[in-house]
Amino acid sequence: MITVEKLSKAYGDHRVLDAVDHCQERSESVVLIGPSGCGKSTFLRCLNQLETPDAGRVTIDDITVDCALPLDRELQRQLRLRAGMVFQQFHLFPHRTALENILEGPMHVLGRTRSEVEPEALQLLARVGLSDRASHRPSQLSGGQQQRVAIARALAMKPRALLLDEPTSALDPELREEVRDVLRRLSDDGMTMLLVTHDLQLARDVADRILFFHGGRIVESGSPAEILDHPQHPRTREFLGNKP
Amino acid sequence: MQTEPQQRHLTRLWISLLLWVGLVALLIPAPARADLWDEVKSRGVLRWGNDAEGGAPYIYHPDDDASKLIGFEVEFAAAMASRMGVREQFVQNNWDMILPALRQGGSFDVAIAGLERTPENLAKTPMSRPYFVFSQQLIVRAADKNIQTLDDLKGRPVGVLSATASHRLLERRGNVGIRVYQDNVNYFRDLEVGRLDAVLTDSPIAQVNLAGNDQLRPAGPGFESGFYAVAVPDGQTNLLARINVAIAAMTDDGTLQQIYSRYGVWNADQEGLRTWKAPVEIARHQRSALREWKTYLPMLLRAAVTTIWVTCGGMVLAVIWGLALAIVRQYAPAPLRWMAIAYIEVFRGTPLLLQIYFIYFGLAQQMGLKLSAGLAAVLALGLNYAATEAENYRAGLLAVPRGQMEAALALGMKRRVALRRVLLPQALRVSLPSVTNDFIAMFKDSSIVSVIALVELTKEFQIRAIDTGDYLGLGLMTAAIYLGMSWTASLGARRIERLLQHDHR
Repeated sequence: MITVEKLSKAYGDHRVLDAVDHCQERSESVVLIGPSGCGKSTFLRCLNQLETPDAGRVTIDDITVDCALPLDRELQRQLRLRAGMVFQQFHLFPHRTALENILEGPMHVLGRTRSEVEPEALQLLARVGLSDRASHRPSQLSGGQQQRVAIARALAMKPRALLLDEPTSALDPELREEVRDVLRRLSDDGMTMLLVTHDLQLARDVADRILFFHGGRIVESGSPAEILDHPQHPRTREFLGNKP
Repeated sequence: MQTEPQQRHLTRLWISLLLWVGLVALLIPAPARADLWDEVKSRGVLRWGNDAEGGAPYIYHPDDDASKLIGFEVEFAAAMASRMGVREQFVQNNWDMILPALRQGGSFDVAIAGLERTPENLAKTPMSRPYFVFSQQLIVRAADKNIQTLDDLKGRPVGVLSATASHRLLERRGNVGIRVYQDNVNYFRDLEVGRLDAVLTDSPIAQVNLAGNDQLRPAGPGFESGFYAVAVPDGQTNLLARINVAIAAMTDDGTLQQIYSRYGVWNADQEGLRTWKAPVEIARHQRSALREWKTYLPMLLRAAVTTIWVTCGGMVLAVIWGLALAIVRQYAPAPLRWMAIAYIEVFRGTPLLLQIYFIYFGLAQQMGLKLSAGLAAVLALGLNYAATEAENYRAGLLAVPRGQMEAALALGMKRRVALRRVLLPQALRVSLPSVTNDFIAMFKDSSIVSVIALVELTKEFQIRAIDTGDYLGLGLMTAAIYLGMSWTASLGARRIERLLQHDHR
């Protein structure tokens, strides 16, 4: 479903991604962990081209974007349509209600009519447990509620995979659980997810596989039990040991 | 929260009240002055006021020496002073404001500035016996063969100098479109390019401007002759008597004929100077515009309508064009972006007045693009304010968090759609207070378009104030209308802001 080949990215002299390879099956949930600044967020953002990689190829479903070829905005857009994105800071559209946030993509990107999309959008709101918040604006919602709307907004585009960039990091501990709960159910329903997080609880809950990212590379990979409980690489051990 | 805007209104009210009190204090007449003729004698210098912009043949700089002043009025003033046994000194004053300045006193002793000896002028200040006989001359394009009199010009645009005998004559007849000008030059230009179908002006101006100009011709002979006379401050009967003696002597001994012949303005009409008898003095009174508000308020209100549509038209243009500029500046590729930046800098960095002249006169002269005064005014205000609005929008766009664009792109939006659906709605909310602020400011700035033959509120005020001499009463009425307009606009603006803010929450 997701294939990444030799993905590289540098900011000046600083190599953020060092020829990263990654392959992920349909319905597989992969969690990226690693110290701050290790390149895991950049990796995620390169996947849907919010950052332009310097070299390498990204394939999501049937779309491949190759950095060696000249920039093709339409292909780039097609790639983004295959992969929904959820941000640490939610980035809901503040001038629209929760429902309108969800309708925005299907109506104004896919050109579908409101009457067609609205039942689906309401269903998505129900799925993230916010049926009673449809006409609230983001500023009237808690962080956890905003993130759940953001997830619904991404799902409304019917993506083949979901990319999540630290979805619980901006939330108070007591609000994290409601987002974890949504993501757990998504994972159980067979959504292909690639998730960057510091939230080890979340990683344990949803991951089929955990990758430990360090210095722009994947240094260790394995099941949650293998990585979280029996890390092999010294850097992984240090990272997890330092974590409370 | 409710009282804050009200408080601001109150403060604004107090400030304007204070300003008016100050103005009134300025206008309180100074105590009667000593005998001005004694003062002139002991000074040895007669100071006379005129506007060097007056133009040939009255007073002008010769082509070969811009530091010199010549003209039949310059020589008349010199001859008159020497006849009175003093030297003369020219004092520059805007022609529009010559009589108010004379009445206020201080900078010059008499005004010699093509001032017509009419009941209107005599009501404001005493005047000498005439030193020149002029008549009204209609001027048309040489190509318009069949215009002979004003009757051939029904409903068509005719240019006149503001607050002159020609102006009053057209107002009295009322069947042609009156276009009011500030100087003796631009109406000929507008006649040549076709914005006007005729110019009505005093014979000396006509004479000089028709000489050597094969594009224009006089239509019919001069008519409604009148006199130029020296204006003297109120109560200075000694000075007035000396001046009258000097003029009578110069008329009789041929001094005037010599001077006027040099400038080609001596003609048979000047015989009238010899035969002139002082008419029975009419009772002088200052007209009060406040007491006659039923006459003047509708005039001002009609002019305010022009102010409103010029402002609204200009703002619509500024809002739309400014948005285009902001988007190009922020998102377009390099060459286009530079052009937008250059546009913004040029229009923000040069005076609006200059831009108006350029659009109205410059384009007509150099490119044959003849915009009507109204359209030119809307264009000038709109193009100028667009630069400011563009910067307001840009500030709004910069205020939208980066994540909004990323979220939109991640949804698969094209940049254009993201701009329209996500960025602009948020940016416009941020810019709205500055934009509405500019709208209110434009009500006042629109007064600057009065320089191009467009009679809006300020221009109407000027015309009526010169006519009546009542700057205070008309000023109060005009200020009240401006205040009413901008206050209404700011109420409307605040309402919109509140609506959108509510929407945002």
